[in-house]
Amino acid sequence: MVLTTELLGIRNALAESREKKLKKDAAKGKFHYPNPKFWRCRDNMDFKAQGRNLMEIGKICVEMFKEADKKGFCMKQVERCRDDLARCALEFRQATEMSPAELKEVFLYGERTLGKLYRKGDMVPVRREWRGAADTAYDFYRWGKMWSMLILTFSRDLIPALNSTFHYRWMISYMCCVGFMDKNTSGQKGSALKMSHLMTYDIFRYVAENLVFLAKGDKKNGNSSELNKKVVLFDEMTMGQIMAGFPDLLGIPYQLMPVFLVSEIDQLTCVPYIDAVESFGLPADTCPVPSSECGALVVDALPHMGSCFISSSMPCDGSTMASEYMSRRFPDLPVYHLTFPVRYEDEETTRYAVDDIKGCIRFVEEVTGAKWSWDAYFKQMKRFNEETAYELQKWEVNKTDYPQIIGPSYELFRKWNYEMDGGADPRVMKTFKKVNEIMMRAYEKREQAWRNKMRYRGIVWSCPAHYYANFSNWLANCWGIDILVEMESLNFTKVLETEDKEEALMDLARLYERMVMRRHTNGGYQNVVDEMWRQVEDWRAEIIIMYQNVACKNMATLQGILDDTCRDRNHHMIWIEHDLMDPRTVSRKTMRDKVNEYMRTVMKAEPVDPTLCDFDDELGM
Amino acid sequence: MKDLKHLIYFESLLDNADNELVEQAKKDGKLIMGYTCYHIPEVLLNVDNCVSVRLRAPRTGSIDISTYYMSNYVCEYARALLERAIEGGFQFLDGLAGVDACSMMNRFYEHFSILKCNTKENFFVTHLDVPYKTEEFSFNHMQRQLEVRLLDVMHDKLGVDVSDKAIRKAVKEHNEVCRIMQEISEMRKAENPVVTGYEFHVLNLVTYTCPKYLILPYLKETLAELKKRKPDEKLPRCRVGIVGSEIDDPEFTKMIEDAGARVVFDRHCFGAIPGREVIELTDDEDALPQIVRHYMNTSECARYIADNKVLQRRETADRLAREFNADGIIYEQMKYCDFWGFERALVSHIMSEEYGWPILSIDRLYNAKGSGQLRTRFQAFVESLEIKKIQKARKGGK
Amino acid sequence: MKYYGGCDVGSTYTKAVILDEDGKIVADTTIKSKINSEASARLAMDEVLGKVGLKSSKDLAYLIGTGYGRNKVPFADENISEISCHAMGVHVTDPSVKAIIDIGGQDVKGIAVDTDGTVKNFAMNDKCAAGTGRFYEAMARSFEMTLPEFSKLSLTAKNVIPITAQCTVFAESEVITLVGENKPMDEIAAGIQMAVAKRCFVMAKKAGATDSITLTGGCAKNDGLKDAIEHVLKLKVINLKTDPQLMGALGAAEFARQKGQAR
Repeated sequence: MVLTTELLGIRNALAESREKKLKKDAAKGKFHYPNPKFWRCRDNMDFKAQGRNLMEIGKICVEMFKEADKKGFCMKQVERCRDDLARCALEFRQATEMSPAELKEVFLYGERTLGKLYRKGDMVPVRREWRGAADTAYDFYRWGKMWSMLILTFSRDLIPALNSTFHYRWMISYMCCVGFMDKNTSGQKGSALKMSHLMTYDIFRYVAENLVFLAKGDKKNGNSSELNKKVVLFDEMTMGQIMAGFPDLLGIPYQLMPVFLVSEIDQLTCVPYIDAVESFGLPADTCPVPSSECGALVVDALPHMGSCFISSSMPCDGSTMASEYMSRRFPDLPVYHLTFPVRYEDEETTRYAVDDIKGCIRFVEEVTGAKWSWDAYFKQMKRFNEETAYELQKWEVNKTDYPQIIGPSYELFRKWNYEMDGGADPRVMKTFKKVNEIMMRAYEKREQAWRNKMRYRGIVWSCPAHYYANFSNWLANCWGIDILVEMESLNFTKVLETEDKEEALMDLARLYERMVMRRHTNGGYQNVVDEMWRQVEDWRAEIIIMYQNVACKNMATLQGILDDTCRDRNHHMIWIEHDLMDPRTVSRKTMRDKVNEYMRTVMKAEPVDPTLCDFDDELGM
Repeated sequence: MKDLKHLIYFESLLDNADNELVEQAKKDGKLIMGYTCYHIPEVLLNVDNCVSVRLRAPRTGSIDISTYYMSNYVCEYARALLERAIEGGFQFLDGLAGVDACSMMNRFYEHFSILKCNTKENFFVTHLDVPYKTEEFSFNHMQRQLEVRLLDVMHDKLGVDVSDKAIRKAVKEHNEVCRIMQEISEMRKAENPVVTGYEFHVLNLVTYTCPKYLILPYLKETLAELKKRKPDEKLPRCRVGIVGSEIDDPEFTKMIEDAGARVVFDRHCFGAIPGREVIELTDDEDALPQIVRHYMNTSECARYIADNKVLQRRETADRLAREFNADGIIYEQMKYCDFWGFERALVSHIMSEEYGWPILSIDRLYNAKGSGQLRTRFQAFVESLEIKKIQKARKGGK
Repeated sequence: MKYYGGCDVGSTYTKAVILDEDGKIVADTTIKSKINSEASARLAMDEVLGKVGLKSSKDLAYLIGTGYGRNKVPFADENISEISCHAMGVHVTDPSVKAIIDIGGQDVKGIAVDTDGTVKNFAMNDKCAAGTGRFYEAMARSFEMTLPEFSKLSLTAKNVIPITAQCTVFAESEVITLVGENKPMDEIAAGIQMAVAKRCFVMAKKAGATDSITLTGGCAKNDGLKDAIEHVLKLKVINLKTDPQLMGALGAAEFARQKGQAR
C-alpha cells in the first residue's frame, strides 16, 4: 500500500510537470502526439478485483514452484555456467592466438562468425554480438535509450501498465523486446545499424504507448471509461488512416499488440491461441493470423475496451470471418464491417468502397459523438505523402549497386508506417529525415550494409514467417543474400489527394484496397505473378525468396503458375515453407535448410559464415 | 418405397457435367453458361437462348494436376473443377460466370483462363465483385456489377438479348422449376415423407445441371408420381437437416441415410434452400434490381459478415429444423473452406448451446463417399439422436 | 589402376558402384537396406570391392556416400546429396536427358539437369509416402502380388477405375473396398498407376520436363507406371541403358572419379 502511494506520488509529480510543458507548447502552437487528453483520462481500477487476481496468480506461482524440478533446474544452471566459462576460456585463447593485425581487425570491426552465439535449448544468445568498438558502443547507447523510453512511457500510467502482466501472458513477451532489437540488427554495422535502431525505436515507442492505453482502457484493469469513450478499436488488418479525420479519438489496431507484433518478438506466443481455437473446432488449415486472433478471444487474452470496433474483410477470407468471433466475445461493442471490393483495379468498384468509407465515418460519429475533421485529415495525409516520398528515396537507393537500408527493422518500419501510423505521429517524420540523411551519406561512401559483402541481390515474395522475422539477417550473414525489398513493402505510393474532399475519399479507398498483402493477393493473379517479375527486373534481383505460408490460400493457389513462369525465365527461386505463427509445423531450422540445400546444390556456393549453416534455435525467442 | 420412374435416368444425368440434356440443348442452338456459386443469380444465365449449368466434377479421381497449380490445402471442389477443366471436361461451355466470392474458387476461374481450358472463340470468363453485406449501396453495387460484368459481356460476346423482357421470361421458367421443387420439399415435412433425402438431392441437382426446359417434363411427371407414392411403413430412425457449404454429391446424403437417418432439409450450397425459392417480381420496377435483392437477401453464404446476415444464418437453420421436424442438424463444410471453417466451428457451438439442437460438425473432402470415418460419425450421430428421442418420449410418457 | 566408389544408402535398398579411371562401371550391387545404415553400406561396399579384388574401401582412390543414410558412411571420403548424384549418374549414362523423376523408397524427387551434369533445379516430396516405393509395396500387398506381377496386371486393363484417396493408408483401404466390390483387378491396378503418374506431374514440372523424362530409383522398373506417365502426362519416358536404380551410386562414383582425379 505504501509502495502504491509512493508510486502514485511520483506519477502525479510527473503528470504535473508534463501539464506545464503542454501548456507552454500549446501557447506556441506545437502539436503533441498522442493527444495529451488520452493520457489524462482517469482510471477507475477495481483494486479488490486486482487483489483477487494477484492472489490467484500467487497460488499458481506456488503450485508451479512446487511442481518444478528444482534439482534439475539447479543442475542446468551449473551446467550452463560451466559451459559459459569454457566458452570464455576458448574465446580468450582464440584471441591470444590471433596476430596483432587480426586482433585489431576484430576489435575495430567485430567478430566474423556468429554461429557460436547460439546454444541448444537457450531462449537467447549466449552473449551479445561484438560489432567492433564504435558500433558496440553505439549499440549499448541505443539499448539504454530504448529502456529509458520504455520506462518513461510506462510511468505515464504505471500501475495498470504493469498490472497487464498479471492478466496477459503476451505482456511477458514484451519484456524481450530489446532482445528482438538485437536479433534484427544481428550482423549489421555502421550506418545500417544506426538506421535500424532509429526505426525500431519509433515502433517500440508506438507499441509502448499503446500498451499503456490498452491497460488504461481494459475493463479488467485500468477501466478508464473516460478513455474508452474516445477509443475506436479496429481490426489489426485494417489501416489506421481513417482515424486521421478524428483527432480527438484514439484508434487502436486491436489485436496488433496482443497477437500480431508479439508473435514476431517471441516465436512461441501464438501457439496457445492456435491450440485453443483448434480445440474449439476451427480447422487447422486456416491462416494463423485470424486463427490466433480468434484463439486469443477463446482464451480471453484480449482487453475488453473501446467504444466500437471496425472489422474488415481484409486481406483474405480467413480474416473476414474472424470478426464473427469478436462480435460473439464482446456483444456490447458496436461493429462496423469495412468491406472493400476484391477486384479493386476495376475503378467501377471504387465508388462502392467510398460509400463504405462514408458509412464507416458516419458510424464512428454516431457511436462516439465525434465529428470528422477534413482539416485534420488533410494535415495528416500531407505528412503521409511526405513520408511516402522518403520511402521512395529508400527504394531508389536499394535498387542501385549499393543498397543501404535493408534488414527486418526496415521491413517492419515500412509496414508499420504504411498500415498503422500513416502520418499520424509527427515524431516519425523526424526519423524519416534522419534515416534518409544517414542512408544518403552511406550511399555516397558506398558502404556495405552487412558485415559481409553482398553476393546476391534478393527479393522476398509472399508473406514472411512471423516466427522468423529476422530471416533476412540470416540470409545476409550466412550466404551473402541481401534482401533489397519484400513484397509486403511494395504498396500504394500515389500522392494522396489533400484538397478535393470527394477525390480524397476515392484515394483513401484506393489506399485501403492496396494494403499489405491485399495489394497482391486480391484483384487477380497478375497482381502477384506479373507484379513479381516486374519488381524482380526493377530491383535486379538474382534470387527470389519465395515464402510459402502453408495456410495462405491466396498465395498457395498460384504456386504452379509462379513456378512455371520462373522456369520459363530460368530464374532462381527458393521456396521456403512456413506456418506464419506456428513454428511447430515448419521450424526455423527447416527454413534455413531449404536455403542451404539450394545454395549448395543449385548455386554451387559456399557459405560466407559456415557456423550459421547449422545451429539450434528451436526454443529461441 | 417403390422406385421413382426416372430416378435412374436422373442419376445418369449426374454422371457427367456434359450430360445428355446439355448435349440436346446445344443441338437446339442454346448457349451453355457455367457457374459455381449462388452469388451469381442462376436466372440471369437462362435469359434468351442461354441455359445455365452449375459446374460439378462427377467421378473425380486424383486431382494431382490441379494440386500442382493450386497446392494441397485448398478447397477440393475448386481443385476438382480445375482438374476436370484441364482434362477438357468443360469445353462444352460458352461462358463461365465467376464471382470473386472466395479466393480459391476465384483462382479456379483464373486458371481456367490462363491454362486455356476452353478454346471456343467467343468464350468468356467473368469476375464479378460481390459485396459482403446487404446495405442499400451494396445492392446498387451488385446490380452494377451484374450489368457490366455479366449481362453486357453476354450481349457483346454472344449477342444474347438481356432486356428486361428477356429476364422476366427467364424468371417465369425458373419459377416453374422452383414451384415443383418447393412442392416436393414440402412433402419432406410429413412424419413419414414419400421422398428420401437422396432422391430429393438427385432431383434438385438435375435442376441445377440440366437445361430447365428439358428437365421440366420429367420433374412434372415425378411430382405427380410422388403425390401418389406410398411411404414405407417403417418410420426413419431420426430426421436431420444439413447446413453448410457445397455438396454436389448425392452419395453424401445417401451415406447419412444409410446410417438410418432421413435428410429432411438441405440448407447448403447446391441445395434447395436457398436456390429453389420463387422469385416474385413486381411490374413497377425493373426485374434486375428485384432479382439482386432476392438473391442477396436469401443468400445464406457465410461470406456475408454483416451482423444481420450472421444472425439470419442461425435463425434460418433453427427455423428449418423446427419446420421440418428435424431431430438434429449436420453442420458440414468442404475441407479447406475458410468461410465455412470459421462459421462451422463457432455456430455449431451456438446452435447447440443456445438453440438447443443436437449438432454433428464435420468437414469432408469433395469426394467423400469412400470415407469410413464419415460413415462411422453419421452412424454415431443417428444412434445418439435415436436415444435422445427415446429418452424424450419416456419423459413425456411419465 | 585406380578405382572410384559410390555408395547410395537408400531407405529400402543400398546400392554401390565402382568405376575405373575411364568412368566405366567395373562392379555394382543392390542389396536390401538394413536398419543400420552403416552396416548396409559396409555390406554393399564389401561386395563390390570383392568383385574388383580390393580388400577394403581404403584401397579406393576416392569414395563418396550418398542417399538417405549418406551421413552414416564413415569410411567415405565425402558425402554428396542424392539429388546431385542422381543428376550426375543419369548424365553420364545419357547426356541428352534433362529431366529426371526419382522415385525412391520413401520420397519422390524432380531434378532438372544442367549441361554439365549438375543440378539446375530440384524439388522433393518427402512428407508423405503416396506415390513412392512404399506406396507400391502397400498396393501390391492388397493385391497379394509381387511388384512385377502388379505392374504386369495393370498393363492388361482396358478401362481405368479412378482411385480417390491420396494417402497411402486410405488408398490401401479404398483398394480393399474396390476389390471387395468385385471390381476388375486389372482396372483397379491401372487406376493406381494412373494416380501415381498424376502425382508425378508436379515433379515432372519441377524438373522442367517438356516432352520427355527419365525415371530413376527402384520404381523406374515398373512398366505400368511408365505406360501411365506416357499416357497421362503425355511425356516420353526415356529408358536408360544402365539399371535406373543404380543412378545415385553411379553419380556418386562419378563425382568420386572427378574429385579423385582432380586431387
